[in-house]
Amino acid sequence: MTWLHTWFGLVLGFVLVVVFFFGALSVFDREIDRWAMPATRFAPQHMPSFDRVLRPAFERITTADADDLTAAAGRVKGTLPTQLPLVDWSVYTTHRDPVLTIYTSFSLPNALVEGDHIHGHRTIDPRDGKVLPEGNLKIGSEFFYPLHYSLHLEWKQLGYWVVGLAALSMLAALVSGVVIHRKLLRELFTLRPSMQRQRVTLDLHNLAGVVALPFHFLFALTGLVIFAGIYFPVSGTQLRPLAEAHEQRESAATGLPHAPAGVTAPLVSVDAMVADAQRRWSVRGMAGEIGYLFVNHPGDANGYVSLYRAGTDRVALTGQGIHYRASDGVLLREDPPETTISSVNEFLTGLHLQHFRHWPLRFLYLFGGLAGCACIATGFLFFVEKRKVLHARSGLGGVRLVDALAITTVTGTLIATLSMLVANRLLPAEMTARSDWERAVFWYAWLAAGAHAFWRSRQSQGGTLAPAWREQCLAVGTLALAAPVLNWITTGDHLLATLVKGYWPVAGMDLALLLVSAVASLAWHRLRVPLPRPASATSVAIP
Amino acid sequence: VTGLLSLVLAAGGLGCFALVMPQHWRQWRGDATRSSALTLLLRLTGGLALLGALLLCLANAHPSIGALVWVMQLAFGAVLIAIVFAG
Repeated sequence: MTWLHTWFGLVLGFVLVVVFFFGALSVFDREIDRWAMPATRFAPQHMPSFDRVLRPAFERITTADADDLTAAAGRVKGTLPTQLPLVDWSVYTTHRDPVLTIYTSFSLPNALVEGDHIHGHRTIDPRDGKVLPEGNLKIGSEFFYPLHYSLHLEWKQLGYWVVGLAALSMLAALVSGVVIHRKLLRELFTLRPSMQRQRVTLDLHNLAGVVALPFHFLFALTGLVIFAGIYFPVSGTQLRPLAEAHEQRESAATGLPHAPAGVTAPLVSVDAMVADAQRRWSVRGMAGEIGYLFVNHPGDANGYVSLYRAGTDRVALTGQGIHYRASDGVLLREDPPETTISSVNEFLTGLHLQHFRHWPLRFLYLFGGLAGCACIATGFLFFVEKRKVLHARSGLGGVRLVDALAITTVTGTLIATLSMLVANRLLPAEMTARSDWERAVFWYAWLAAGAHAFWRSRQSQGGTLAPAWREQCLAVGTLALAAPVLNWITTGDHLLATLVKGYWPVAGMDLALLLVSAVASLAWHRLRVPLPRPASATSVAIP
Repeated sequence: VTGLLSLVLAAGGLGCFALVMPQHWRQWRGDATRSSALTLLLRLTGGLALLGALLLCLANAHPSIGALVWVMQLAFGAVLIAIVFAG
């Protein structure tokens, strides 16, 4: 169990730090978006009028996104037609979204896999339907959040598989950690800062791992559940005929047409359907707003509109679906109460994706995510501290490699993140391919931090702390201070102004950045004094 | 306010359970002896405080959210107690 815990934790721990850190940031992805996109700094909006705002915006999306079109070229027989058939319109919003992203699906008529489709999307201001420039990267929801689950490794969905493997290892490391931690309950509240460095590191590792154990276990598990369709793609492979038959039977049972009729038909007022749906929810004692709006086969006689209630006040993302025929607004179906299995699935998915309105819980999630980072980072430190004297004596380089990788994934990740925020405020707003530059700054800053970590970790072989730790703390402190200052200079939204206005997305970001700067500067200052060498290489049992 | 109260109850309850452990009792009271009646009282108070925190969480939000809040408050409360004893 010790071997399993040590090596699973070490090898995939580097991925897990990234997953936990960007997962923790994703808890506030919309707020990071507001900080990074000054033009969207206004109050969150409810789902706007479909008839006046959304429909014209959808109708202006006449083609799929360029990236999707390029990718689809290899998934069709022959060449891609210039005009693709429209499949559906969809839009999703939460209580934290001032702007809306709307999606249109287009089918690929000559696709190699039947039913394959691609998307076109726009971000709009729901107050007037105006399209926002696509060059603005939503750093929180479009970069940090996907990095959390896909590592932005799109080829063959490699990133999803690596993260899945890391989550599985996390579960194994947690279970084996509980087994090998013989004094789990007796030392639950144990933190002894006056003890030897190795002991303190181990105390921190145990504390962060044990107190947030339910959080870590549930989030690793629910992450796997959410992407089960990728890890077990049976409905698209071995069981494809069964899945298709199920779709047909479900369509027949629910009365929601599976395929278009091929006959043109009008789309009547969706706003009237929205009003009716809200009335029906109110009668059930759960008045609420629209969270998800879906129009299937728009302009076709088989078209229908599905409206889902936003799950703002509960863990489930959306629910209580009501469906109307698009051509005349007749009610087709009200979804029945969830089955037990469906409710469990909704709960597990919803608790991970957390779109509910509960700010204290959101902060507690941030704490849980950062506790995960602390648990893994202290695991790295303990591994290095435990072996560095022994390796130095034997002339082995393994510890230096682990130390450099630990620096790259702990302080290096912070440097990359902060560099991206600083670049976001420095790059001209009208710059061509601005979002590509922001992404490039992130990856190159991380690469530079990694190179620096390998260069300045030589001394760790001698039993002292690698200088790269201290130097990167200084870089983190400086960048974290520069970001809010640059935000002030480029937008005028200084901390005092946002605090007075009560505009918490930006005020909170600035406060968090200043806190990070203070903590990193303190760490830099404390690491100025050389840390005492460990007394011996075998003073604490390796967990 | 209710959220803060449930956090105080959760941390307080965990603090009572921590005091049942000999090493933390020594940290707080030195060599002072602890009667078995006091041990029982600490356990009972700790249990009631955690139950109170759970009820407050459930009353303050939809049960699906309240249960999550309680679990996370226990985690956060445990860190707070560990820091208090570390000091």
